[in-house]
Amino acid sequence: MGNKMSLVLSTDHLDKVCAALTITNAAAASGMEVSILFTCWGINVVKRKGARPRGEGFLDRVVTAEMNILYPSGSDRLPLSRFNFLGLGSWLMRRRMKAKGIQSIPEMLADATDLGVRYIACDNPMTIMGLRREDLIDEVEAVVGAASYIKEASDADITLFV
Amino acid sequence: MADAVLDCRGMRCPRPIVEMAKKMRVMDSGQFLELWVTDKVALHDVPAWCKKTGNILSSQEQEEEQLKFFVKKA
Repeated sequence: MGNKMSLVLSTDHLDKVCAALTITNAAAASGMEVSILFTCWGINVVKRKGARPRGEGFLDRVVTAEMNILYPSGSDRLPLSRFNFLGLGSWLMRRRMKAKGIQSIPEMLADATDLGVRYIACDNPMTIMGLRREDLIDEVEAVVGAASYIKEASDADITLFV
Repeated sequence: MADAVLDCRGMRCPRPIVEMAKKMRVMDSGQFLELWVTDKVALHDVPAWCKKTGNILSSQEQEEEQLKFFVKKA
């Protein structure tokens, strides 16, 4: 019976992050050692509230300004993968989830931390988005590259990509 | 008679399992936990969790919407 799980989270869509954290938390609650690699847009899930991406040079600053507007930081305002309608859909979905007793993303992240789930972040998307280590929440234990993930995944009995 | 009661009524997957795992951490081996849930998936998930973790599901009851599980810590 395997006891290690490694999950790659490459999206910041509320629905998919919800699915990913439901699985990681169930695994951790079942006594598994779990690690999550946040990459691509998944970085937004562990972005500190109020973090502002920085750009160097004109075009770079245009891109980061755009990201500041489109991606409010903090895991409590993630967009939906469909029917987001500029955030209205996400807001309605969060209300609906709450009404039905389903945990919010910040609550699930808190449980994951409590259960000892390890967070690691991928360096490349952070560079692209103009984010530094201090822009991520403290729970992120390391900012790594692909080889570190391969080490994690080779040790794992379950690997998932969301 | 259970050593601890955990009320997870109204909570949905994966929260009852997460709360049960947290509760089990502070319990001693051989003690019994009584879990109350209303989420129907618990009928599958609690036995599966017990199999995976080695804890023992000693009995379960159902009263209308409410499910009760008696789990012995391994």
